[in-house]
Amino acid sequence: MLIDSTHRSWLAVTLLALGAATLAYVPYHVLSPSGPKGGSLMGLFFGIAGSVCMLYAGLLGARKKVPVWRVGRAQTWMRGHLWLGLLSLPLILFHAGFKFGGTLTQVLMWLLIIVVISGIVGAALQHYLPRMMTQQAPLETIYEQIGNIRGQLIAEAGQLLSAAGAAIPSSAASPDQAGRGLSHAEAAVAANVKTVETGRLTEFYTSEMRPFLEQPTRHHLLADGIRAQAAFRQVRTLVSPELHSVVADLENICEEARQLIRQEKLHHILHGWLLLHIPLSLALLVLGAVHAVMALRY
Amino acid sequence: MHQRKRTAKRVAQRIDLQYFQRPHPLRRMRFRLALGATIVAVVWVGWLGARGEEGIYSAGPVSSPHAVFGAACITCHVGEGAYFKRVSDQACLDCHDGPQHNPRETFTPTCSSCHIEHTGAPRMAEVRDTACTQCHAALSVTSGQIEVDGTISDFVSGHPEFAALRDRRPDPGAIKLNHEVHMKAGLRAPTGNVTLECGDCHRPAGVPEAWPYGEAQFRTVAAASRREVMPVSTGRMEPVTYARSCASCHLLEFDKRFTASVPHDKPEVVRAFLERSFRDYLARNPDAWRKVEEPERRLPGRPMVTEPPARSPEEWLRRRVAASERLLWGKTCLECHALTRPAPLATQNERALPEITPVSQTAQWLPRARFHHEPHRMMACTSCHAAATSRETADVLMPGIATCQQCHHPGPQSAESRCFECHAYHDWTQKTRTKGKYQIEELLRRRSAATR
Repeated sequence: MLIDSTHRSWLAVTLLALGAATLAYVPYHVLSPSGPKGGSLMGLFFGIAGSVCMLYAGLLGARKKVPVWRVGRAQTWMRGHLWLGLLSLPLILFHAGFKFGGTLTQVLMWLLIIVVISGIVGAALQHYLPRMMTQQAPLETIYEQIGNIRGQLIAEAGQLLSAAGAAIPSSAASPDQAGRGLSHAEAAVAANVKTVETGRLTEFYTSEMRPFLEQPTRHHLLADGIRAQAAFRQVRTLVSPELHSVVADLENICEEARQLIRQEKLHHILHGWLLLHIPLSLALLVLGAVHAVMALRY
Repeated sequence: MHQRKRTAKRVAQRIDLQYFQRPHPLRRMRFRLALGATIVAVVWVGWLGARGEEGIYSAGPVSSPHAVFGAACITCHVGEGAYFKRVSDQACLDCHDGPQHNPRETFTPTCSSCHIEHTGAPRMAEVRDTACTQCHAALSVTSGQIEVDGTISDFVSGHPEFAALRDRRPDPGAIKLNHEVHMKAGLRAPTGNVTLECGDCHRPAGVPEAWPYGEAQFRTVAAASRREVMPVSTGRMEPVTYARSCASCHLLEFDKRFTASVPHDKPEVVRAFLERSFRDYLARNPDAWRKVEEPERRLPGRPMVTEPPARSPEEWLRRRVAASERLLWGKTCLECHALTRPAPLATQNERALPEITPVSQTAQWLPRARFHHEPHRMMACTSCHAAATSRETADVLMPGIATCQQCHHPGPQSAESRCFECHAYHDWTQKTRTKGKYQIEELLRRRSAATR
């Protein structure tokens, strides 16, 4: 989600709330006979406020499970998740008097810090990376479809080569190998010439391009745009101008494959932080509830 | 020029419409991690709860003296099902005594509001200043006048001058003492020239050293001084006594016939000593009363005349005692004491004894504070007490608050300056005995039960 001017009101409210909390906390910290404690009246107030913020932030996951329910706008939920989640950290620090306390409270504090920091990192990534993805991978597709699309790119490449008269020795998907309608004699002559040229193309395809399409890695020759360009330039010198359009299409397929790699990588960065953020936030909510109950007992 | 055409239709046709039914590995991993983290949290808490371990719910490490209780929270905290209940004062009073601070206080704070546990502090008595200033910053009492400054906020900027110096009252002591003279180098003494040190006369209680300028018994036997020693824990200086500090230089000689001094005691005791001494002398020298007494010294206000011989031993005894008393009451004792005599010297009723003004040596200059000299032993006495320039007994040689504030102030490189360092909240004069209730076996059993 872009953090833009539409967040202004949320930012203002968050800053106001933080300012008010700080104004309340400072004299409480300085003047309290026993120092700031979580179980004092002010401590409980901060604890409840922080917990409410965390609960709201945590409910975003539940809200996403029922998208058709009209329980507020998704944008509101998301913005609230960001800003109230951020506000929860100082509120809980005020609640604890900036002390980490015993075993459970130490675990909770570290969980909160990691969750908030990972959230901030995630928000920054969500702000910048989509644009980067659009710029670096304009041919992007649905992330879960990347494998499927790669398969289709392999099939398309096979089709192109078949159409060009190449014999594709592998079991790669090539739905139409019938080729175009040429007379037998012409085909025989053309086939002779083509055989040599398509052989080179085929060799390039089977040795470089198909492995790259099937299992793309960053270190492959075709994974680098400049090196790929040079490779295809060389292939063009080995085939007749009639096949240059096929080469161009193959090159375009490789470019799309490279963009899929970039998209995959950016997607992992864009969403990988959630592997830390979500589990830890769930643990935080569970243990926070335990702490709220047991702290009141003691 | 490539001929691949990318149309919306072609792009849409590439999509497998059932993809959402098969969660992507990334989503699956996220779900599993989320579920795993939740399960780990629940299992952790549940497992510890099943074992009865409460230690994880502690707000922090307990103080060192309470560590012996281990994780037996029930020692102080109320037990099962007691929500919203704080540690009661009775839980503290089971082991500790906490006498009331002042019967006129407007409210009594709970033990736990000042003594904060679960911070790992070695001494829970080290309370914040706000525990004291919650009352003393704007002091009020239930009845009567307020006898102390009622607007104290902290030691550096909000604490009045010490009471001993505040009103510029003189030292009430009635001993005539010139510190400047006593601290000069090379003083004449019976044993030769001496240079006194502060510790030759002033010493905290419990220091096992001889008194170099005291009576013979104190010069070699330090234990003899313990009769008058204050409890060691006070940290204050022992009162200065003639017997320990003055006797070897300030002799109380009374007659050339005797080398001994009169006892440093009440006038009636001195008189009895004189009479006994002269009687003993007459018993040993029966003809002494017939000899003419030559004047030995010019006494102030008296002409030098030769005394006629005594007509009887009794008269000689009376004359000798009177002469000794004139020397003592008129000069020797007056050197240090203020005397009031009911009649002028050597006129009617010479038998009347003088009254010695009580010395009124102040034992404690800070009655509302605790000061211990022992932690300050690395300091030279004169760094705090301006004795070297004091000539009058009336000089109050207590250092002012500014002297203390040079070292005692907030900050990492300073001595402690919080209220508890010098002041006690509890009135320990009202201390009562605490009846211990734990047996060792019971304590160990509770501790092991809490940590099984």
